[in-house]
Amino acid sequence: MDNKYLKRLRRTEKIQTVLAKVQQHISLLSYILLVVAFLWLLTFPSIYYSKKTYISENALLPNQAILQYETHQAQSAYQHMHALQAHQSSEQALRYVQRVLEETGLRTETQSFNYTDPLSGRLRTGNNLHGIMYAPQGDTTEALVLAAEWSSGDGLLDDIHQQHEEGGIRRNINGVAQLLSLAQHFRTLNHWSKDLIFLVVEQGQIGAEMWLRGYHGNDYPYAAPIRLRSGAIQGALALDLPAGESYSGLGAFFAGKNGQLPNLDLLNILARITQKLDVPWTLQHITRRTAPLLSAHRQDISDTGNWGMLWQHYCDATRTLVGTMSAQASGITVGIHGPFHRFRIDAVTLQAQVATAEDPISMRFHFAEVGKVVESTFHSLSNLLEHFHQSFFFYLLPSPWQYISIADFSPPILIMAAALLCSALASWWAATEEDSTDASSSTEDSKHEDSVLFDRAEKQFTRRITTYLAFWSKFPQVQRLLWTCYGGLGTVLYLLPWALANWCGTMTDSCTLQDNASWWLWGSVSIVVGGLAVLGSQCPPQCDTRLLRTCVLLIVMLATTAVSVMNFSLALVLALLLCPPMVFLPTGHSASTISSATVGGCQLRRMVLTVWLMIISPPMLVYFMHRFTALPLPQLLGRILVEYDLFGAWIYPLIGFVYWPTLVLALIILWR
Amino acid sequence: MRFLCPLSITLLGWGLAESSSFPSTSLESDRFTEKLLINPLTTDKVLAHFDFTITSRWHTPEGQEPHHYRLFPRLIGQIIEKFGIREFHLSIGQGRWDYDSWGYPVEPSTSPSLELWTRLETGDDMEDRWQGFTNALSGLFCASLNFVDNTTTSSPLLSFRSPSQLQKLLQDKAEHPTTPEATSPTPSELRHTFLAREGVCTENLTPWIKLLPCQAKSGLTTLLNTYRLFDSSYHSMSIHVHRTCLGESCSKEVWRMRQTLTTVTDRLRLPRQSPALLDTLFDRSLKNTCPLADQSTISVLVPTEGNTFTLQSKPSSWSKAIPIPERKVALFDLKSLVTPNQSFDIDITWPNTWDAHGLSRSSIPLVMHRYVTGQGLERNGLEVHLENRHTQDIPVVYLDTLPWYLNVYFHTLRLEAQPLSAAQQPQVLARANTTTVEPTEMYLQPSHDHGRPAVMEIRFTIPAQSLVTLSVDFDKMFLKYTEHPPDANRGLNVGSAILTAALVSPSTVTPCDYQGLLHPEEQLWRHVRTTTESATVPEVCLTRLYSELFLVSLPTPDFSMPYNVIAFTCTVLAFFFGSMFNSLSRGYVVLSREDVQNTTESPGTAGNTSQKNGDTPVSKSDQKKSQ
Repeated sequence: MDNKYLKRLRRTEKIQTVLAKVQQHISLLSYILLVVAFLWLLTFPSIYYSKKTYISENALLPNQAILQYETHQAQSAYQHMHALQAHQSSEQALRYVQRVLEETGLRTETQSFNYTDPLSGRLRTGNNLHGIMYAPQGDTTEALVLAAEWSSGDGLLDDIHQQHEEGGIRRNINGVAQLLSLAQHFRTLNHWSKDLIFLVVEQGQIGAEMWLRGYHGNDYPYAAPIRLRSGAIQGALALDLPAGESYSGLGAFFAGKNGQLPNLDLLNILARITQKLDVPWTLQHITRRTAPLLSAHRQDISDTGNWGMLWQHYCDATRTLVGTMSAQASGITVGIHGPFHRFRIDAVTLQAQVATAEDPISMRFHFAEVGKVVESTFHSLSNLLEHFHQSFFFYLLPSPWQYISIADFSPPILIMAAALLCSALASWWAATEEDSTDASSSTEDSKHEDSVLFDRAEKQFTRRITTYLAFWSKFPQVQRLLWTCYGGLGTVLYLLPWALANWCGTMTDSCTLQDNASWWLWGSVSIVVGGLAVLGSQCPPQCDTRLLRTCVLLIVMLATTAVSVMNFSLALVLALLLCPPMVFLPTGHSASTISSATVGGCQLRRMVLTVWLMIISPPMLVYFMHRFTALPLPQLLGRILVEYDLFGAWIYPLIGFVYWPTLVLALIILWR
Repeated sequence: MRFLCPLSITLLGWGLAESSSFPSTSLESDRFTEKLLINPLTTDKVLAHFDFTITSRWHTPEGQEPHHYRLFPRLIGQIIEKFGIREFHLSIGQGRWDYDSWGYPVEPSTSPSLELWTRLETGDDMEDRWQGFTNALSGLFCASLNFVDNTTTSSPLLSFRSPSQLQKLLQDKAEHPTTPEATSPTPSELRHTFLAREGVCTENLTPWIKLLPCQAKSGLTTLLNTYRLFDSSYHSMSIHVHRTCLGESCSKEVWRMRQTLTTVTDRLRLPRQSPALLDTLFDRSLKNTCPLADQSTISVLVPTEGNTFTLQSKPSSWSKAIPIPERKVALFDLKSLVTPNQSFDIDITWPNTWDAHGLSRSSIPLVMHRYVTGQGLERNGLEVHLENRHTQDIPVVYLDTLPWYLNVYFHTLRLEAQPLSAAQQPQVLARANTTTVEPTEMYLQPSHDHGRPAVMEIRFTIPAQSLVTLSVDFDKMFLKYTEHPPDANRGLNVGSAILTAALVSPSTVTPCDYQGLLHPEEQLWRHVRTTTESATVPEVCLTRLYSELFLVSLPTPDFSMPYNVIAFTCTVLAFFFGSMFNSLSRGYVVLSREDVQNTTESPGTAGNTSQKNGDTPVSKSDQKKSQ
């Protein structure tokens, strides 16, 4: 016998024993990994986990220019505010804005658009207006945008439908007035290296999207082409100043569609500028009770007096992270900056918070301070020699002064993926183990050691091959199930609202958003239940749920990690919702090996998991969202569809093609 | 003896067409004129255009007399002679000329970059001479002209022909032979180049001023205050050297060098506005005139209506020679007005009320705008809007030179016309009523990678009162990493497109009007009449319009951490996927002992398997591998 060959056999033998140990404990390992991932997530808000922000692009030079927007210039903002308040109709107000911009020496253009809501077929029309101030001596190759929309956004409540239905529009007159006075002020300055575009949009994000499409020359049937253009837009600021005597805080809303974020430098310069100007600065109005940096407390842990401070920071950071990450995951935020990111433009909405009686006088501010912030930011953006530094948009912000980089925030999701992988391996090994039970009996012979070893190796090899062949014989069934569920059910769920709208179009005028939304909701639920029944009955008794479980877990893992590269927050939500129930899903069994002893314990587990899967099913999630945001259900559903139809957000196809079919398959695995 | 060329009208480039009454005395010696033209464009913007012209016989056509430089700068003369230059036009500008508000410029080249076009005498060593010439100019004007190479140079066939030929080309509908200078006995070839992203600076201005006879010591050049000059909304300096001829039958040929400098001042951005015009614009006043100048004048174009300024000083005369629409021309002859002890200025009053746009949009017959479409690397393309607001069709030649790193798909080239009435209604969403415009003549030169640029030259007619949209798609290519420019990675500028048009009886101030005013003795751009001397032939002005530049940000190598990680893990995953896919996509079967023995007996296989006892499953794929 070849000595080398024997050595190799011994080595494989050793590996086999280790593997056998791993196989025994693989499920436990997946639970441990899951727990580790959750604990790791809890460290995110800690002050020790995040780094201090810094300005990556040196050319930005925040706070270097002497600001000339003073109370005198702010007077014009008050004038415009009063004038705009006098104009009740939007048509009149638009004419006023156009006249002011033209008198300032800007060329203006109006763009009209009409967009049909995919769910209700309702037409949304509006007019965007922009004026371009060509930079003195500029070569029209680059531009910056200062934008304002007519209505002041407030999260989901800025939905246009609702405003029209309720009649009272929260108008962003102050924002437009501020924009006009800034246009007049910027006209007198001569240091601009980029053209300045002043944009006033209607219908919120829809208007902004239409304008951007027109500006970038996309032939789009819903919007008029734009003829008055400048060069490539390098940055944008959107102003959102609700009506009020004075403001107590300026909040940044920065999450775009599909988890796109503006360059961190843009937020960094804003944080530094507002700090210098003594303007209270927050992320999404999440107030902080601790000093911006806490550097002293951070170093001195032994002092127990600091613990309270650090805990406070931890709580604030948690709120900030949850707020900003949920905005990033859903793509639903205040302001019109969202569509800009899709056109590779870094944009942020600045929303002011109206001061209440409790706010101290010293903290209050109004047009003059906001104007200074914008002027200073535009000076910095105009300084920009090249583009913003690349790859500075993978970050999470626990506070305006701290960030977590991609290297630090990606491990938990990878660990969760590893937990899924381990769990998948567990059921895979379980699926391939059934023939191995009888293999151990023949090893009792007291032959020569070498030949025993050889025999064992040979048997193992045979076993591997036979299980492999057995797998191939089972696989087509599983494959068929996967295709019908992810492909068939997914497509039906995905296409349902469009089919409904189409059907609605033929049904004359009896169709409303309300009807359609409920049709959609009930339709999809019944489709899922029907699909569940059909697929469950289709899965024959010999159908191997262990193999099915392996495939489903791998698909979930793939989807989570793939999404995490693009939109970390969405991937995290997906992982948090799907990972635990999938990992706790019983490893599965083949029809022949159900032992009656385990059935009792299994039933309880089944019931708990079924309830769990029901709770995280999309209709329930939509319901929770409806309760949480107090937005009417039809509007919420309409919004989700518009997000996909107009802004290309993935949430809707992700639910249709991945999330819901996965839940259906999980139920099949559970009850088979 | 490069300059020994017989006399012929067609040789003479832009510069002439018909001879005119030129003072006979000046034939003997060099002649220098300095002129300043001031024209309020809008309520806030004032155009000031300096024109210094030297006409010289420094080199006689016959070449019999020795070279004698008097006023004509020897620096230029030697360069011209050494490199066999027939004519050259260099202009460096900064800022955007706003055609819509300001009308047409005095000098047509308004590209906010460096433009050089020249006619070289044809010969074997042309490429060397072109390189030598650009290098010489680079040294002379402190500009980075030495970066001109074959990736930026083009030789347009139609756009830069002589006015008479262009006139014929544009007025006739029929196709023309493409040989540009068919009648010329010593053929010359055109070279045209843009150096986008070349800013003007005092270092360019100083050598430019040095070429003038009086330099900056006296005369109108003393007004060139660099602080004001480089604070203006637009400025452009240029030098044009070409040959022209004098006398009835063009018997005498002379060289003419025009140096011009254009600024547009935004008076609302100035710290103070005095009632004196020169003081407001340049923060200086005139103390003397250049003693070497034969003529030294300031012409102020006073608008007959509109809200600009009113003239208080009494001019030497009101020029009636050239009727200019909506303007009266006040001439100030500085030779008589400027006295040594007293500084000279023009008194005016500025308006108090505001009028945003001096010129209404409709009065400019033809406007061009070029935009780039798409974002990132998605749906990239060009979109050129050509708007004809005139009541007559305008024949044009469109020239665009696109560098090789834009991979232009010429099959996507579209020319669509749309009535202005439909285009201007904002409520019309889709492009309504569009019709395809058929080009009369089209020259498309595809680019070579890392080599020559793509050139498109299209001759077509813009229908009256309509908007023609020219669109073409392109892809951005990868630069080698050494090809990226060394400075901050802002992207690469692409030079302007040029539209050559024959404006028929326009109702606004044209470059021809300005030139007629500055050089009444020589009808530079205008009235190249057809051979039939009929009175009904309309007045035609040939001019060129320059579009905006655009910025291309090419895909850049990004070596930052996240992308490294992504690239690395993707590579690992690709390997993993390969082997996994390989093993998954193979079919495995269990072989019987006979099969195994059969295969081992076959020649060329290792005999290891024959030693084994029992049924040994061997995968077919392994067998295949071992074979």
